[in-house]
Amino acid sequence: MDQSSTVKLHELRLPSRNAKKQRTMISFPVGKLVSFIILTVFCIIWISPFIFLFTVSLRNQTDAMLYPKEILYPHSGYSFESYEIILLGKYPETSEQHITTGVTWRDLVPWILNSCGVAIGGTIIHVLVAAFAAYAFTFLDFKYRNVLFTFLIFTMVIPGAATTLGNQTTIFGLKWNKVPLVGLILPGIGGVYGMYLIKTFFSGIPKDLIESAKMDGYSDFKIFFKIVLPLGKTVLLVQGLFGFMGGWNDLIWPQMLYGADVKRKDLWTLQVGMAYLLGKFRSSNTIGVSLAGGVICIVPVLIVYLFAANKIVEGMASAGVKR
Amino acid sequence: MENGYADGNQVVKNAAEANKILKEHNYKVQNGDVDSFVSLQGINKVYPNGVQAVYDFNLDINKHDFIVLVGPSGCGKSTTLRMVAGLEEISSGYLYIDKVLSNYLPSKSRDISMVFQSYALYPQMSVYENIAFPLKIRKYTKRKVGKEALGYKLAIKAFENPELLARAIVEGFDKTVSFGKPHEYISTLLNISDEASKVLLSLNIPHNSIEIALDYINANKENFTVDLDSKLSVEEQKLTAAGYEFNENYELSLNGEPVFVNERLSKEEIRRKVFDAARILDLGPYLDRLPKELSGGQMQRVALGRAIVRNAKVFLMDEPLSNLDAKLRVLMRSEIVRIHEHIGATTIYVTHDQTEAMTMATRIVVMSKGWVQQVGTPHEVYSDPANLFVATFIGSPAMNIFDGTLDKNEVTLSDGFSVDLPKDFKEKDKAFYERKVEETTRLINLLDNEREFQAIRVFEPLYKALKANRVEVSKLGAEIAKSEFERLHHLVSSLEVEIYAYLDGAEIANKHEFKQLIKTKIAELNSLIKARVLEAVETKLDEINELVIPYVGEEFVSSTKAQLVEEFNKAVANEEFDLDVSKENYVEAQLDRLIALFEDHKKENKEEIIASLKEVKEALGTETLLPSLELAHETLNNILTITEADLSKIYSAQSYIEGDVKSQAVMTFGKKTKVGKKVKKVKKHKAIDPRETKILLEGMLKSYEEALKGPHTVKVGIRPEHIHLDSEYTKPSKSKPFVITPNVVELLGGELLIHAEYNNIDLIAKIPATTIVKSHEEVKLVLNKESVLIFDPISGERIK
Amino acid sequence: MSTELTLQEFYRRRERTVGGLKKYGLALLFLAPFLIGFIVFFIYPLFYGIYISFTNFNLSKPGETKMVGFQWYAILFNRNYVIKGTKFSPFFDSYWKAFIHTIIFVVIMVPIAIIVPLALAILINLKPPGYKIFRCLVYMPAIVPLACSGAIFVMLFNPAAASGILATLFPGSFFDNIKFFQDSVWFSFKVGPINVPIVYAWIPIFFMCFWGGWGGNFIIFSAGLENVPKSLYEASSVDGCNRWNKILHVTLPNIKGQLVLCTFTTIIGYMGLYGQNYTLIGGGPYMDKLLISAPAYGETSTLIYFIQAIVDGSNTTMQAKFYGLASAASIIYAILVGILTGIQQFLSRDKKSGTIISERYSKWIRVVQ
Repeated sequence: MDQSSTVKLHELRLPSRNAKKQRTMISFPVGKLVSFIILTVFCIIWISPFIFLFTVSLRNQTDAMLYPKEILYPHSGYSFESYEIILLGKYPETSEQHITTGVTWRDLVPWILNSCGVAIGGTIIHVLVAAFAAYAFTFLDFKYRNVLFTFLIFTMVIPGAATTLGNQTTIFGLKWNKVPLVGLILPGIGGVYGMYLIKTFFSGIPKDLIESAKMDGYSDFKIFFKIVLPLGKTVLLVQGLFGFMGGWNDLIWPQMLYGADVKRKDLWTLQVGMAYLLGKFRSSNTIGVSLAGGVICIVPVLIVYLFAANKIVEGMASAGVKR
Repeated sequence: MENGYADGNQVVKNAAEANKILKEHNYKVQNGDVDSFVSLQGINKVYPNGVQAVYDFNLDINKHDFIVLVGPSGCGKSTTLRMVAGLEEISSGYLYIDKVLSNYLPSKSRDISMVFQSYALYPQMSVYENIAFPLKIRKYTKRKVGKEALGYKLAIKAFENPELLARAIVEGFDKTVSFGKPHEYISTLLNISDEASKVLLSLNIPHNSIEIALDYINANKENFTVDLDSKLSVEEQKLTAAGYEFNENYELSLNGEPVFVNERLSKEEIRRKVFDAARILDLGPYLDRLPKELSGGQMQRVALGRAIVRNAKVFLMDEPLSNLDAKLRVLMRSEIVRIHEHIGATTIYVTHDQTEAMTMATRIVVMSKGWVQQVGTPHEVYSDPANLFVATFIGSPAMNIFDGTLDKNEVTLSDGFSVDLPKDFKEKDKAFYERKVEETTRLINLLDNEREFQAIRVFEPLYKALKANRVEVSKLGAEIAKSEFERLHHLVSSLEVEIYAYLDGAEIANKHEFKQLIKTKIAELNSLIKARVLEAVETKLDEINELVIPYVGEEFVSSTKAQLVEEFNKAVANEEFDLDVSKENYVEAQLDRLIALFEDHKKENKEEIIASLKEVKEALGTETLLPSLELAHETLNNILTITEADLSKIYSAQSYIEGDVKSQAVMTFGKKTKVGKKVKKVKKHKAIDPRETKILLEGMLKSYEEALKGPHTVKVGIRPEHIHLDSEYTKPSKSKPFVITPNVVELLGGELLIHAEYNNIDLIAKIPATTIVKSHEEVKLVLNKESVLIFDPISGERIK
Repeated sequence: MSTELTLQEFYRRRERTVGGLKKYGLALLFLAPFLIGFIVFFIYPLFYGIYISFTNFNLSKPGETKMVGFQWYAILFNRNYVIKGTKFSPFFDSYWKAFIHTIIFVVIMVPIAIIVPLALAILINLKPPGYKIFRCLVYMPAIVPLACSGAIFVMLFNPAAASGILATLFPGSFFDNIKFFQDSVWFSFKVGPINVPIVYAWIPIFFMCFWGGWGGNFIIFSAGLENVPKSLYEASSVDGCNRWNKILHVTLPNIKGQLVLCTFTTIIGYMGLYGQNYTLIGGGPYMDKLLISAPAYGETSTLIYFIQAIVDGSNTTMQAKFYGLASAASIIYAILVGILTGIQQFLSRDKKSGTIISERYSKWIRVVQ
């Protein structure tokens, strides 16, 4: 009788043995660990340019020349010299070089204002216009509604490049290239892609809400502002975010309109200005200056992104999946 | 026993041997003791965050059974199904599928098929490909067959019916008739293997028309037969040369053992199986379509087809019909039953709709909140429910439950209406409550912390100490004693030496007497030392004993102590001064104490405990001590813990108890881990918070005892279909009539549903629509006395 | 009697038309700003652009346009075509060089911009701890404006003398040795009559696009992977799939839509490559002096660069004289993109299933009954 010292094979605690074997289910999350390691390594390399951006822009010019390797811990500590150079328009007297950037804070202010105007004001206008149109396509019944909408979808095939020249001609023709902002905001009003996304979202709103509001006596305008817009907060917010980032970051179109005219710098947006700066300081030891300019460009967008990252990501995701 | 499985019942000596056996058999374990086809034993599911979804699920399923797990949402039925499928890990318990221990097998090795609630059809594949997918993707274990030999044999046989053969060959080449390659057609029509058809085709029989073919066959029949025969013997010789034996179907075996081979199915085989499944399910016209072009019912049938095409051992269905509309659901229900009868596979079906369960099942398992409430055939579950939950869940409309008072065998409702029950009910009632009292008392005893956990506490340090190969307390005592003694002894010795030295150097008369006096004094001193040391030892012993005293009793302890002291004195007197209170003696003493504890105790399984402790005692000093100790430790733990059955009783009680001690469904079992007077940590193991539940159980006990004394409240249940109109019901089991005023009268087909308020509940009665009953007009009803069910309001169980 | 009827009829008819008009008017009101913007800034420029491509439009003197037929198109497609009064037309070489640059870049970049985000999306889909943070970090470079990322990559790839980061961090490696932004040729090859040297400057451009160029693809793949229903994976487990089978039969087919979408948007996106090489090196080292009178004759020019070089006013003569050329080039570009988009739509259409198998089945049934 071996009852006390032996155990039935049947009753052995198999998990401790089998959990490690290939043939059976593995409860240890190997996949998560591997992906965590790979992603961490990847992200460190991926984010390093941002780190460089900020640290290099905070060195002073002598350090840049004499101690190029000390990126994270600059020899004379951090300094705002590059920023000063931009803002004041010339090198500090203490430095050996005496070059004027041609740009001072007096120039920066209208640039920032213009960029804000396009990014914020322009976006609000675009989103509102698109929302109005989307409302019409979803809730208002009129002849040729579907035909018109399908036509608009078809035009999404045509790339922006085909219409850019025509738009430039129009604006130059109307002499709006001597006027701030208008030429930047107006051409985007007829943007079909944004309107399409908003319309898709509005189609998800149950029609009963609208009908009961109509029976209560609301006019369409009231319904639009009081019911539909609040319900559509998410998609409008996402569109607004994308519009803001697009408007702020846009370089090509403002460049085409205003960039050529160096005398009217006040019409430039921030991006155009910084690109100009970059062009001038590209191939010298003073890359810190253009980096400082880059930081100025990117900071608002970065802040918005860091706060709204999830929303942006989810907005893009749903747009892609819907197709 | 199937090839390649280790016998789970064999006894192994240690882990190394077990590992070896497991490795040989590829970690597949079988248990021949398990009788039923699918067996779930003690299955529990606990999630990582501590929530337990399934408690102690036990079920034995026979072949061809249709088991339905039914219950409200969240009761654990889907979780159980997924555990059987392998999609969830089984926290504890054993799952056997066809005698094979399947807890740790991945889903694809378990030989099961599953139909999901959302159909889970592959959207990019057509219906045909969806159904064929399980056949394509895996290899199947088949008996190795001498295909060529079999082919020749079947080809020879085909010549016995020349007309059919001719027709097969001609039509095989006819594109309008053949559904695939010629050899496929021939194999299907003549019911022979593909190789045989290929052999027949190689004979080059002309296929222009049946007459020509027939003539050709008849003309050359002899030649063909002889030719094929010789080829057959060549093949047979090849097989024998390779060492195989074969039977008449050319299934090969090696040395008497059948040979199996793992290979994929051929395209033709797959096609035939899929078509077969399509025929059973009537999916022929849909085989090309993609899932998005199908309606709900069709998708469901495709999912079913995918499940049946593999002929797996067990079919699992997870609420497959809940996404369909009502009419389709009824249709598909009968479809599934029909398929089940046709194929005869064992099925486990999960649903929340009790109508489905009652229609389709051979046996129903009613679950609620993770516990199995009752297992039985639909009839049993309907007419013989085990508790209130099952009674109200099964049957639509639900059973009417009244509050009533039971006095001997008459139960009276709150308005005075009484029903007399069969004569023997009084005994049944008494037996029921006596049983409940006994159970509850036992449970309360189980929950009694002081006594039970003390036992573990005494045992634990013992166990731990032996495991660490030292006994702390005693050694400490011995060392203190020893060092103390040695110190004092040393002091005295040096004193003695000094005195003698002084004496030697001094000028004193009667030196010799003086020396003697000194010697005596020294001896006295030594005794004093020993007494001091003994005191120290005694104090240490006292500390140990305090642990034991509270339940064993002072006298017992002091007698043991006295015994030890006596032993010590004896040793001192014999100058055998060895204060090393030996480990084994200490252990033995403790064990004796434990054994005494249990002998005094009114406990079931005490013999088992005592036996295991005695084993440990016998094993003292041998190598087998530690393993015995482990086993004893486990026995103790297992016995002192609350079994699953007890938990279920406590749980069920909790659900129905009235009063302020209605706790939530979460109960935590505290297993004390810290040794000492205070309980420092409580490890969350399973259910039951001892303190709260004890109050619960004591309340229940009181109610049970009250119930035994005289008339007590009960719950009375009667199904709507067992309430009849006084004017219509004539059977002897008719009760006294009662009058109600219906609020609403619904006409449902050939039946009337009468809703009324009666005795503070919404009564529903279902009567045939032959008599007109109008609402707000009084009507007399009677009950069928034989169908009245009495339930205990405290635990919800049925009194029977 | 008759007056009543007529009044009713009249009333009914009036209400119908007026109501219709009212509804129409309301819709028009809502649509007006959008439609006006659409017509003025999309339809009109489109046709005007087509018109310009057939004229000798001058931006500063729009009044003096004259039709010149297919002149600009001829310049672009015929190497020997010469405008009246000039001897050599460098536009052909310059344009086609830009075209080849673009095509090569697209061919190299697009597979990377699909596979890398797909792999990352699969990794993120395994949901390691902190996956939301990883997701945001991976997408972050996509929001960086061109001026800023241009500055960053100039900083990275500058030679050590100008404190370029990579050159100083890895002295002696090829980061140090190669002059990315100057006239250094990596290798070159000939396509027909055109010589196409590939300069090292493409490397920073490549990395700039790699850094910020596929964030959107990543997000879309990530969402697509999440949308694959879990029950499908479970069903395939029960059916007998190992991990590789699952990827092949469950994952990939279910993200086919996203794959097609991303591939084509990426192709179209990179065909329009312009901003990166503009901010980084302004169109590349200008090495071929023969082509100096053509727009975008630099070694990192692209299709859009060609157009922009004429149009953005950095060279007013170009802007004045060759505006129509730019327009013609943009029309050609639009047609190319349109074809690609058309292919994409074609590939993502709904397929209709056939009837082969059900016919087979009906034949089989006859045999078996």
